[in-house]
Amino acid sequence: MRKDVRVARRGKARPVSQIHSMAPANAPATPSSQGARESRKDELLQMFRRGVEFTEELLQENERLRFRLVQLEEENRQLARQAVSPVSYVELIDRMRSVENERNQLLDRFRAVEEENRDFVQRYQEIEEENNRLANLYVASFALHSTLDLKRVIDHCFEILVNLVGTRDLALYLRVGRRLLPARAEGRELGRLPPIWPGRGVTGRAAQRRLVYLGAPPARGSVVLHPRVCIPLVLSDELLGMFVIYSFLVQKPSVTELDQELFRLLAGHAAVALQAAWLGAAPAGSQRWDGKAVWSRLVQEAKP
Amino acid sequence: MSENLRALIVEDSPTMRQLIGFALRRIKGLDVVEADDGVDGLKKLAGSRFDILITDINMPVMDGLKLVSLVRRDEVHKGIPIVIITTEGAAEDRQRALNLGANAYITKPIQASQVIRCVRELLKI
Repeated sequence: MRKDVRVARRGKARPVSQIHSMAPANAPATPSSQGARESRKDELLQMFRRGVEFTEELLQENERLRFRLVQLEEENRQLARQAVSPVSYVELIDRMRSVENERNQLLDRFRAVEEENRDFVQRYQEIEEENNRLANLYVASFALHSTLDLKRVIDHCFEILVNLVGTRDLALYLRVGRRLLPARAEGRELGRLPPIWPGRGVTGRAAQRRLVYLGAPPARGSVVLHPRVCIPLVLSDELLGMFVIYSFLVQKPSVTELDQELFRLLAGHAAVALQAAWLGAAPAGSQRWDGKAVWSRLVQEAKP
Repeated sequence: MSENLRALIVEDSPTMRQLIGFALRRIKGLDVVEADDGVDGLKKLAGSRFDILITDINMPVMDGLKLVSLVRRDEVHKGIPIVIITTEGAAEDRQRALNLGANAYITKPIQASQVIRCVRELLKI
């Protein structure tokens, strides 16, 4: 804007070459030339005045620009001091380290809480499993000892094995003399089940050892001869009978810890419950367990 | 004071009834009523309001599937959520029960947590 003004003013001034051509400096003075000289003098004076004005303007402009330069230099110095002064730099580094430490601490805390949460979830699942286990054992135990009716005791034993364990085919054998005879079956025809001789075959060995037997499903051969589970019913070293499980429900992939606990519970408590029920149902004076009498009664009841 | 929700267990096996009852009584605000078979279940449904029905399939007198189809035709209880708990694990049995109107199908042996989760989901509690 200012440059434009200067150019405009310069444009009004006459060029020096043009002034010289109007009259030479050493020309003789005449009246007519006297007037011309006066006119030239005025012109020159006017031109010098304008030159002075222009110079003054330039000086003012120069001064203003120098002042602005000083201002900018000062601003620049201040900004430089703020940005890279050693003090602020150290402060920034410290702050950065502090924030980074804080972040690491928060991450560590987050990981610890996550770990804690996993522990709680695992603990909750363990408690749930334990609760389920205890509920099953309680219900089974309650069912076994809730009646003195022999048939109902056996019903409860079958219910436990079918509903709580997930058994599909099973049988109850009772000891009659030296052998065990099938007294009740579920999923199998009672008359087609062979007797068990202690010491012979898988079932016979389980009866002889009086220990719960767990077997894998047979690759070939009869499941009757190779059952999945045998649960001998033992009371005071006397073998009363044995539950034999041939197969499980399709949705049951394997025998669990809880199943094994239920088998052990049945092995001990079912024998006691059977004996107690027999004492309540036996003819007067008969205190001893009579396998043959119980077997006959159950087989009779099973007949349509 | 808000009224408690009510669940009806229809199961012929006393051990299973007791086990399912144990599980459901752990749900706060849920009252549990038990029935021995389908007919007993229908009688109890007719006499009172229930919010959920849990039933076995294989039962004497009236089986669970018959019960489900009758409940779905009942004006009062046709919208009640029904859970089947059974030994029948085959896919076609499950489909049959769901087609008749059951909302959930659980196979035995049961886990208490599984039954609780299922009932909570159906009752939205």
